Amino acid sequence: MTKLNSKIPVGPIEKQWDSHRFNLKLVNAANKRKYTIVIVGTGLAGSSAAASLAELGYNVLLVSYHESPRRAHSIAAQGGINAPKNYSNDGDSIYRLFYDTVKGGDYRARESNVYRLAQVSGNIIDQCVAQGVPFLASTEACWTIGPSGEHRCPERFTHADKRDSNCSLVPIPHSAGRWMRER
Amino acid sequence: MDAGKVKFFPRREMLDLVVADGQARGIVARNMVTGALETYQGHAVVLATGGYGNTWYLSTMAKASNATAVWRAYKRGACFGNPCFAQIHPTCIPQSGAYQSKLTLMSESLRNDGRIWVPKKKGDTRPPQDIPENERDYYLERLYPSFGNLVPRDVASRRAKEMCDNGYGVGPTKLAVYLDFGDAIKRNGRHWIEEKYGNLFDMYHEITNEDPYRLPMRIYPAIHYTMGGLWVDYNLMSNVPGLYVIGEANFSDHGANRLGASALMQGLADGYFILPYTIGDYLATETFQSLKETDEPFQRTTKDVTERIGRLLSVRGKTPADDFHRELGKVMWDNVGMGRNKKGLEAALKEIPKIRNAFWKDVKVVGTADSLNSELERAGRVADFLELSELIARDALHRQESCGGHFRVESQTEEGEAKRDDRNFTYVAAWEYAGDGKVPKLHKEPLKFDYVKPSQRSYK
Ligand SMILES: Cc1cc2nc3c(=O)[nH]c(=O)nc-3n(C[C@H](O)[C@H](O)[C@H](O)COP(=O)(O)OP(=O)(O)OC[C@H]3O[C@@H](n4cnc5c(N)ncnc54)[C@H](O)[C@@H]3O)c2cc1C
Ligand SMILES: Cc1cc2nc3c(=O)[nH]c(=O)nc-3n(C[C@H](O)[C@H](O)[C@H](O)COP(=O)(O)OP(=O)(O)OC[C@H]3O[C@@H](n4cnc5c(N)ncnc54)[C@H](O)[C@@H]3O)c2cc1C
Repeated sequence: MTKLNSKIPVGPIEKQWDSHRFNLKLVNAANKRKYTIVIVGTGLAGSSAAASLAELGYNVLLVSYHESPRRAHSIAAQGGINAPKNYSNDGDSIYRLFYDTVKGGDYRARESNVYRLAQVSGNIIDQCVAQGVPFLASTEACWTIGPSGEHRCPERFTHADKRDSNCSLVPIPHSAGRWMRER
Repeated sequence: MDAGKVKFFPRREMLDLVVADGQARGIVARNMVTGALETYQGHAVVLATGGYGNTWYLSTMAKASNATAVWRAYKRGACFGNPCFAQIHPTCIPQSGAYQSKLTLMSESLRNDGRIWVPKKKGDTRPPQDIPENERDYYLERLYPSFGNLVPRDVASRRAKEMCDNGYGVGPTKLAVYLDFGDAIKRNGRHWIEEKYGNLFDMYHEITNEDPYRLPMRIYPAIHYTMGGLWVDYNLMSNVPGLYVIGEANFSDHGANRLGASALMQGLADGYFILPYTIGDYLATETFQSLKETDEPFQRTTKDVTERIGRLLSVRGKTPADDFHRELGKVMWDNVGMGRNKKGLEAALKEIPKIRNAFWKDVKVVGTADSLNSELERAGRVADFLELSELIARDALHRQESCGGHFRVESQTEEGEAKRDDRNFTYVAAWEYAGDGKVPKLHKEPLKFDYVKPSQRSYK
């Protein structure tokens, strides 16, 4: 009989991911090359996983029906990536993105997953840049509200022209797969 | 960086998951150029295969996007989470003919400066420039004074459909509303709009042959994203050990409605920052039997795939797979689309098996298995949509509440907004395959809200 266990960590939500990670077992660096991971899909999700796992030293077999990772659906994205920049470092922008996402999802997502998403996504842009994912250079590089402004709290609307750094929206990765070809 | 560790295999379509000793250990894929079936083995399998929006036939997704990878994994035991949660995007270029196979999305950022309206008079056929200001209904601004044109996707989409259903639609098909930049151009000048949206305006012009600097755009909602997907735990692992699912393919973070610009965020968060940690824990704790391509699990799965391809080719019918897909899409859009009710969903659950049976009796697939054969690819994908669609309708029927993109007509507030039933439905619905022709088993994963207290969303 299948039993589903969501494995959601206990404890205060801000600490869950860190303490969970701390408790995860690690594969010894020298042993990583003994493992092979099959990844299907070369959109942004599959490509970023392939890059990270290979960087850690695993063997990755990456399979896709596209002829080149550049063609994945992810590059059709027009709006951009929503990522909180936690400049003030008080956790507020993380909490806000978390709050908006849980509420926007109409309370049918796991709080713990969404909090983690808000928490780690602050690093996404830096990581993409480090991996060589180019973004369209644009004067709009720091929009203050999402493309639709959805679920942004009213304060954010009124501040929409002030370019506050709580939630910057960065234009699309022009070719998600560029780093792949460079490997 | 440790280069050379990624081996890329393009033009391969995964057609099955290999499970050995209860662990996901690889896949069977078809080489789309030679037609050969190939196996790929590993200690874990990661599906990053995107969403299943094309189940509705017309969507903003790439024409090739399909659900085969997740559906095959489902049939090997992975639970499917919230299949009925799909997002309908309000700003697409309306369909112009029945033979169109893909819808074009106009960026939602347009809603920052465009105003959405329909004529106040039903069935008004005057061109937009001849409809004076006081005869226009800026319905989002009227209904939602504080959010106006920036209400969330589900709300904007539903209202547009409602306007059209009630006879206020515009354009040749009457299935469209106006998105008007007249005021923004007057206020800031054409140059400002060009700077901000120039390429989108050009794209619109190219497709519709109408100049949006002079005339308002026409837009209509379309299926755009699927929040549902394979069920995963906090580690992004499905209930099949060693099978990880990331990006749009999993169900995890967006609940019943996804916010703008957060799909890429989630896919990248999964791939860069979460999976690399959690997969290590699995590899470090599990023991693995050594496996070869010639071993039973790979042989057996390859045989299953071969038989399935053989079945598709042996029908030798007269109707192209795309025709069945289009028919399915219509049933899905009409009954499992923006406004869902018991009667329509039950009708869909009757119709879908009929289309599926007709498909297996009469699908036309020319060519052979052992060479490039796009018809065969298409037919295999449609066959899977014809099964997944039934699960979507079943899930939508069972969830007798409205939430996010899932709008059950029976469950709405007095103002016509989605009304959740938190007492009975605060859970993830995870469906487990029970065999062909059998009702899948429903698992409920309860959800708890310790931080963000559930409230009625309001955008007034
Ligand atoms: C027009 C459009 C605009 C969008 N704009 C935005 C935006 O601005 N911001 C945002 O955040 N999101 C946006 N989205 C949503 C976002 O683009 C997708 O959710 C996201 O790209 C999904 O990424 P992914 O990596 O999970 O999957 P995808 O990018 O869909 O990639 C799936 C991959 O899996 C492969 N694959 C699938 N099945 C198989 C199989 N059986 N065998 C082998 N390979 C297979 C494909 O070849 C492909 O490489 C938009 C979506 C659309 C359609
Ligand atoms: C930035 C932010 C930080 C928060 N920090 C914490 C925290 O540290 N601990 C905790 O337990 N809860 C925190 N919350 C949650 C919050 O305090 C309550 O859950 C919320 O006030 C519920 O009130 P409501 O239902 O009346 O608001 P709703 O009706 O749900 O919200 C109305 C609007 O106001 C916005 N909003 C609501 N609360 C805030 C707020 N506090 N600041 C800015 N905008 C808001 C919402 O985004 C929404 O658009 C935070 C929320 C936000 C947005």
